[in-house]
Amino acid sequence: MKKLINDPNSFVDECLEGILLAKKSQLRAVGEDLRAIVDARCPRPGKVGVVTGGGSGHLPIFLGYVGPGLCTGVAVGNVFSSPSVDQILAATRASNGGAGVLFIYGNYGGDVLNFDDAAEIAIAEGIQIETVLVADDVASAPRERKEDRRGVAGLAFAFKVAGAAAARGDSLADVASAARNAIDQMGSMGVGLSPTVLPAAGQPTFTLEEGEMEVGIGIHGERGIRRAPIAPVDEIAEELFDAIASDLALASGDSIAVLVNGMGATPLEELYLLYRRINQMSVAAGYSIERNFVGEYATSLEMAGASVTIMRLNEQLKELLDLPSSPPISGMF
Amino acid sequence: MIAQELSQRLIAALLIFDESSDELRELDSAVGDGDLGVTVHSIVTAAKSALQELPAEVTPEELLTLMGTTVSTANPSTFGSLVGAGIGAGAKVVAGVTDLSQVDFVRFGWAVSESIARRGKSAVGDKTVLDAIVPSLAALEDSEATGAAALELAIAAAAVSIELSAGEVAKKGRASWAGERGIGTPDAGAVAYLRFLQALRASL
Repeated sequence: MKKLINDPNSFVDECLEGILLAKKSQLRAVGEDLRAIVDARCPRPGKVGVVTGGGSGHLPIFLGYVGPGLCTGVAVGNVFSSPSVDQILAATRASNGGAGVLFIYGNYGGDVLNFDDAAEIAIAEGIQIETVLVADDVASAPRERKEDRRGVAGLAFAFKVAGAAAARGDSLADVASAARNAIDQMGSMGVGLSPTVLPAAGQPTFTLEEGEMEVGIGIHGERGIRRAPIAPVDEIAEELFDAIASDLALASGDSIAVLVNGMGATPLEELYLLYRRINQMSVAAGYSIERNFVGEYATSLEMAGASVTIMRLNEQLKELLDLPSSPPISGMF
Repeated sequence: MIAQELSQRLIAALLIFDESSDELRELDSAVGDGDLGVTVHSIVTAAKSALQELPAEVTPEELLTLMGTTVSTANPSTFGSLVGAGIGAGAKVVAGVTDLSQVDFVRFGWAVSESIARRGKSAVGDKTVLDAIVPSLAALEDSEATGAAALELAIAAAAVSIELSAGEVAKKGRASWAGERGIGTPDAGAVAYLRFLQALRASL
């Protein structure tokens, strides 16, 4: 393992220290440790708070989506592990401007348990809570078990839509409904080319032979649909595109937003090669790409690989995607 | 068993349990996200120091409640959250007992298992830690063995069940996403429980 770290066990806290030093006018820690972080302007009286959270190792997910026009707060867990109930509660209390708080995060067991426990306590304290789970990875379960899917790069679209609705003053019910609308219209799928090394474990989380790829991989290196010899990027693009388009039942004339995401160690150049083919295929199928995003939106430490997310646009989603946002870390929307 | 003895046995068992961190990381990597080894190591470290700081006059209920909180906060992953809350629920059923009998341990075990099933919305056969816990408790209940011999029975029952469920498709948690590709890999959480029982046995 070769990493720019000190003690592997302080990896997450030292990373947060660095971020808080760099962005001290924009972000602040609000709990007993550094693991609950909010937009420095919180709470915004009369506006809905948007709280997310999950394991570390995915920047800009999750902390990178805290800021104006996006999430108001985040609870940060260890690498690939859920944050605690107390950390979620600290971010929730600091995000509460009196109009309730939306919990929006990826569909992972530990996160669901801890956010549900936090919701119960927050509601008892008089804070209105709605929960929306992001479950966009089409490779993780068939469409009829959509709610079982894991949340991957589509989290970025979900944060953008919910955050924009909250920032313009929508009610908690409306913010939640906008986020659900986005999730209903999106699908993602990725390919992994090399594994991730957890700092505290010091070993790769899975092995891929030279020349192999894992199609349908998750953002923690979860197995996908199949393992195969690496193919030209156009072929990979076609497989991802076809799987998502068929899952969403896209039809000629549909407006879509496309997000091509790097997993951490794949150069931007390669991501644009992927985008090139996705764009060609969209044109051929009669889909109109109204918005595109190419870059690192949801990573898995140093994993090489990429994912594609497609969101079918309607008026509401188009409007919310275009509202301004300026997160201090990712700055990509 | 009074709290002080329980504390000493747990510390000894945790030290042995820690040695399985690498194996658990590898198992979890096969179909999950590979953080179970890290979770187990954090649990061992946190639990050990919590036990070492415990006052001498503590009751078994207080000790187990503290273990529950420690396990669920050491690394609040799915496994840590479920097992920690389970231990907390188990502690409640031994309230008022100062000297734990084997029957108390089994009652404690059932309360842990029920809490995990309820909060994790899972049952035996879903290829989770319950596949190891439930048969081990049933084996203890069905036998008149005590002490180390009873523990041997529990270990054997858990091991057999884990081997059987390795051939199944996981129905819960991260491993369920691997679908049929997870067949052949035993559930990492269930193996963690087995390794803990074996560590307890080795520490006797």
